Amino acid sequence: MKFFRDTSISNKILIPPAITMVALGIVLLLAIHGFKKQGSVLTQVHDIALERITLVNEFMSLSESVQSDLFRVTVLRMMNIPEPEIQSIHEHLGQGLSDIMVIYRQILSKWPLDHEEKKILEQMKVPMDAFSEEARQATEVVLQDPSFGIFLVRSAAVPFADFQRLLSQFLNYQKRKIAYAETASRETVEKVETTILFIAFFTAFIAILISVWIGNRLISRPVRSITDAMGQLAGGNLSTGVGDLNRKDEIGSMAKAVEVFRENAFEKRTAEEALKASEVNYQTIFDTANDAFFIHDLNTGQILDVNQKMHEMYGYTVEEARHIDVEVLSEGVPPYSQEEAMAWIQKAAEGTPQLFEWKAKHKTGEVFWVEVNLKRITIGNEDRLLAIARDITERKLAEEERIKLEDKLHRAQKMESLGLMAGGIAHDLNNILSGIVSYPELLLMDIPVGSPMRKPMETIKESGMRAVDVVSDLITIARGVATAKEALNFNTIVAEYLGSAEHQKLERTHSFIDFKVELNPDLLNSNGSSTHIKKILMNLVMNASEAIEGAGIVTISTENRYLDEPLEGYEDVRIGEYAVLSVSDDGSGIPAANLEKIFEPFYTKNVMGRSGTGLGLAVVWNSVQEHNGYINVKSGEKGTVFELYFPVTREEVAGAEAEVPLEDYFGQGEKILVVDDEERQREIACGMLTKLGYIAEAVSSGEEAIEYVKEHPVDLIVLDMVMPKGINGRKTYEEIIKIRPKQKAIIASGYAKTKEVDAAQELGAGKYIKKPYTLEKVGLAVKEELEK
Amino acid sequence: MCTKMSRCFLVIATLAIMGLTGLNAAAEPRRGGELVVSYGGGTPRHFNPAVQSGTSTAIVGTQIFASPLRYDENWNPIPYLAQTWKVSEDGRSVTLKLVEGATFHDGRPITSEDVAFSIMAVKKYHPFKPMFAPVERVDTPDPHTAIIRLSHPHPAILLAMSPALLPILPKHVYGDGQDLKTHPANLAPVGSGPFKLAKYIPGKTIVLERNDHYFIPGRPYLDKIIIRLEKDPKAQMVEMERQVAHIIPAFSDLTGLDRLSKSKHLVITPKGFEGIGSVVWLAFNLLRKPLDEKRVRQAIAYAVDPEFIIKYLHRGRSRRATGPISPGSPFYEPDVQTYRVDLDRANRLLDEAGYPKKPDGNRFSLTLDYIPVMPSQQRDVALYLKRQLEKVGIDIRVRRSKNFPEWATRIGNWDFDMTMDSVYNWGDPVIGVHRTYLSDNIRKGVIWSNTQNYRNKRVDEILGQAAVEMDKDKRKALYREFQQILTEELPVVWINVLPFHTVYHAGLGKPPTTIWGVHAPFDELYWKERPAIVYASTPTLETQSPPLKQVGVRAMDLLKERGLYQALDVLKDPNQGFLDLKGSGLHVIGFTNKGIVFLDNSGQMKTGMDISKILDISGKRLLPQFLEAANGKSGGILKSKGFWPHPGTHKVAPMSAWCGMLTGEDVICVLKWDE
Repeated sequence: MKFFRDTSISNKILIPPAITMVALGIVLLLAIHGFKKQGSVLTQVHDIALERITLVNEFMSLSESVQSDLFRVTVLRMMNIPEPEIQSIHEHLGQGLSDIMVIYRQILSKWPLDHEEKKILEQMKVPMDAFSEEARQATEVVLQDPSFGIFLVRSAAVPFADFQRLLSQFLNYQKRKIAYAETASRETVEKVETTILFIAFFTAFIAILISVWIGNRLISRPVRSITDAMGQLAGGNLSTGVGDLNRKDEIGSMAKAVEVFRENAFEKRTAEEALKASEVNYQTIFDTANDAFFIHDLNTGQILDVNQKMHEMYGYTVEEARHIDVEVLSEGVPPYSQEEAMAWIQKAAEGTPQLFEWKAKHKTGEVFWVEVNLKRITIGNEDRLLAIARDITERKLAEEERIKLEDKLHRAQKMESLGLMAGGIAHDLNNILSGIVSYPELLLMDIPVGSPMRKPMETIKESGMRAVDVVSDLITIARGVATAKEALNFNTIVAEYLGSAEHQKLERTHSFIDFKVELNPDLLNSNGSSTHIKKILMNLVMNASEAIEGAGIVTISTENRYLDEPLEGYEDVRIGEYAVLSVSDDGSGIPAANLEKIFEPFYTKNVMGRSGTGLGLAVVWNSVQEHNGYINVKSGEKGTVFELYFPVTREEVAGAEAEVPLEDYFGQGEKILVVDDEERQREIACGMLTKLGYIAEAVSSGEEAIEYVKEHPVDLIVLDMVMPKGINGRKTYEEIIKIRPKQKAIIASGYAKTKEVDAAQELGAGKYIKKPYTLEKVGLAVKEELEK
Repeated sequence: MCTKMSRCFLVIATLAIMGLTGLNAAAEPRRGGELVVSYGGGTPRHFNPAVQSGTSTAIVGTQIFASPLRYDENWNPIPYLAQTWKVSEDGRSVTLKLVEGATFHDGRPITSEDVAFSIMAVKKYHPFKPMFAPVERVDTPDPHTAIIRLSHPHPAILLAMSPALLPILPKHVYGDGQDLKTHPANLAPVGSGPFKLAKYIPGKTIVLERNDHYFIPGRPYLDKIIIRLEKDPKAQMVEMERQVAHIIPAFSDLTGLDRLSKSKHLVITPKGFEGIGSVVWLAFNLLRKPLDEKRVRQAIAYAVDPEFIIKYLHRGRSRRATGPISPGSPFYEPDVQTYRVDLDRANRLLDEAGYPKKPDGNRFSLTLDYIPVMPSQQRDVALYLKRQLEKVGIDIRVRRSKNFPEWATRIGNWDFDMTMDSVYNWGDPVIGVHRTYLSDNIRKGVIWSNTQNYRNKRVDEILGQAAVEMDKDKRKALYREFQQILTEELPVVWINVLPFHTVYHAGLGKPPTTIWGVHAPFDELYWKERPAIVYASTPTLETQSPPLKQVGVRAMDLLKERGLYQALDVLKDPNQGFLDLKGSGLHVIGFTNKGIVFLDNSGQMKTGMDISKILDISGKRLLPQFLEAANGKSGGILKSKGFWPHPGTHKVAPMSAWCGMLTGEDVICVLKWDE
């Protein structure tokens, strides 16, 4: 193939006739050889058959001579010619018989026999053996008794006839074989002739094909392809290579010349393109960088160029940025003013790269943190200053948050160790105090009224009693709420407290204070120790009273609250239902700096009131902790609010069966879908709805809800508004009404009504209920909405 | 020591065989019965193997005479008259200790004197000179010790003391000074073997009776042995088939072997001829051109296809012989030059030897003789060789000899070009092999000497050494070289081992299968189960019965009562009412249902003749007509449209017959000629 391609065009033209001649030559040689071989095979077949015919003829004449010997011996013996006279015939006869057998065995063993020949020879065996045996036997008998011998000569005649017949059959078969071989050979010759003719034609045809192929494939097509390539080059397409470069003929040389031309042009263009690409790359990096890039004039500090990110971070367009000062981009308050900025720039300009944090300012005036990397660079032989600003606001916030958390942990640990210490002290003090408390009592009995000793003794007793209270509180702190918790309702506790002697005394001592109570009658139960809760309430009310100078209001309130999101300052608070007990006053409030310390034992009374053991809030803190609750203190100029969050239990308060007229809220098997990301809430809502006679299903996200209603129409959806992990309730509802435009829904949320709730209601959602769910709330809202 | 060792070994071997054969070994050989031997090997001239070689003398002689040793199937000597034997370290003396108390048939004790006498007699008279040629004298220090003194070590001495080769003759009978070759006691032998000669009808029957004083206690087991001399193998076969004969020694009729192998009560074995060690060969007269040329001899070897001879001419019954030593011998060497048939090579060798083809296609002409016995081994092969050698341009004239002596005279006197021959090894190569190759055994007039006139100094040397080498391995090495030289030089072309077989009745125990086979005493042979002939019931005879039937029934009664051979005498006697050769014939014939004749009192038909294909005048086969009559058709009477020549007058006349069944297979017919 390669040879054909590479040889010169003049040679190419010569190839087909050469091939034709060689092929025809080979065919002729083969034909001559074939004819010769055919001839020799024919001769061979002929020779073999002739040999066989000769041998079989011999065989036949031999057996005939044996037969005739036998008759001769018999006749001569009948003529009473003595035995020695006919001995030679006898001997000839014997040898003939032996020879018959030898020839037969040779034919059988030496010749390749076909099926027919074998068959004839096998058939021959029986009459031949019989003839031999009979002939031998007859010969012997004839010598003894010719008249009896004739018997046996006659009996030999039958197998002899059979034997002869088979011999002729064999002979005829041989003759037929020769004839057949000749015919077959003639036919073969004819076949060979036809084949040679065919091969000659075929060869010529192939030669023509080769010519066409060479002309087209090896000459025309490559020349065309080179001219095409030249056309492409002229048209500016440099990427198309020129084929046939490896050829060693004239076309190859032409192709190489064109290829050199193409390569040169291509190299030039590639260099240009590379330059362009490099510029594009630079711009892409510049624009897609996640940091804001500023390029300043090193001498003037003027902004020459900024990237897209700068626009996003600072709000200025590139054009605007070129005309503003660094001042504008900074908070403007030292140490983040123009002056400091210039100082950093100065240092960087001197050659030392600078890395620092900076308070930057958005076009809107919003301040945010950036980390600035200043570096002197050279762009196109010009000295420039590259400033890279990275937004680190989030990092900063996270840092602050971390510090806050650390403080909180620190505080909790401190409270815990203080508690432990207090517990230890309390134990010992309790014994000591019994003396101090008991003896003044006894002594006072003996001291007459009006005795100057009586006042000091009473003071001792008072002090002792206070010390006992202190110890008692200490023990509470130290032991924790060891008593068993049970389901209780804070409303009951509040009522009990209000009727207690301690509160009566408080009201008496603080007659200018108005004690208000705002209890939610639907308040859910909590698990707790009523003693401790009461103690908490008492301490808080006392604190509140003492926080008020002169007249004021102390409010005790309870309410149910559902936390969709963590309580501010208590990020570890669990989402869920809470019963909240609040005590607020309108006193002077607690300074923010002190808020953190108010729960520490013995924190200065200057801050936290004037009386008590100094352990009141410590006890509150401890007890709330023990109840898995949280304390939220809000204090300001208008007063202080202590909100205590206790987890709700759905257990009933022992002996306080609630009577709810359920019938009013019963449904009639309507299908309701509850959408809530909290499993517990889903269970509660579904449980209530089922109890109310609805068929309730629940899904755990807005996305699932959308999928669900696509397939299953429902009568109403109870939709949680706040689902932080996915789309919120409003968005969910928006999507659902695209599928089912008049879909009824009620909104549930732990928060007070928000803008999102309003938005949802504007879209068509129904009543808003505040979590936690109660049977009454849910029942009423669902019923109302369904009846719309 | 050595003797004891061999005896110990023998005991162990016997025990091992007993262990292996289990139940058979447990069955004790039984006394009694007679054995009919059908012998086709010719009539023995006399019964003294000391002065006569040949199997016919040996078969009878070994029953009558004991010898010092006998042999087992593996060429191991076994004590016989010699209880122990010891070859001295220098190999120059052999001490025999004889069995004590052994006597000759006439009651006289056997002594070392008899042994000494016998050895010297064999040395003097036996044609196998090498057997005892080295014996200088035999010392007889006491009546039971004979010491053979040798001029040189003689490894063949032990085999030479085999029963067929060294009969112990009573000195008091044969040592009377008469020529042993013609001694009258040769025909009335006195020996010490297991049987005594009771009766001899020359050319017909030899009757042997049990020697009750045989020196091996309890043996022999048979009471009587009748050896029937029957040359015609066809007659032998019908005797065996009809169980009237029980053993054919050395049977070699090839079609006959095929036929006999179909009889369930017969066993055919090629074992027992290892000692004889026959080799059939094509011999060259090396004195004549062009056979003096080795390449011509090799060319002839390449032209002959022994495989064809064995497989087709011998029907696979013979074995290939590749060299001068028979393949059954311990000295046989298979690794020799062989000549696979290759006509091209033969032609090439002949061209090279300077004998190109003449215009008529021939190169030269040769005569080829053959022994006029055993045609399958001699004449047939000769005729085959003629055809085969023609193919390579050698014209062969096959020359017939009228009888064995004519052939022997021609060959012995070197009056031949090539001849077919068959020669026996006779145990040790020293005895039967050396004679035909040693240059000092080129003896005109002596058949089976070195009639080829082969001379090779190295061969002479080797054979000289092998004749005195007592170490078996060294002898083997010498014979290996010998066989390699000979197969390369080809004084003869060895073709095959004779297809000798012993055919015996399956009821016989301990058949003769040692290396000497039937040429050894039959003292261990016994009847496990005697042949039983079941006769058909004789047809009833009434007063009105035709005379034909009367004769037939009488003949049948006679046959049943006396047996075939004893009955024959009566059946041939016209005075007894049989065989009216002058009148209508009344000629009794017997044949099997396959048409094989076993009886014809007229002698018209020979025993073994096949009449199955004889036709009547209308061309119908006669045998079925006989069988129909015998089975009762027309009261057994057959009126033949055919003819039958009168056995006496030979006149042909219509024949009538009466036939009856003698046994389930045998038919008796009485034929009569109608005037």
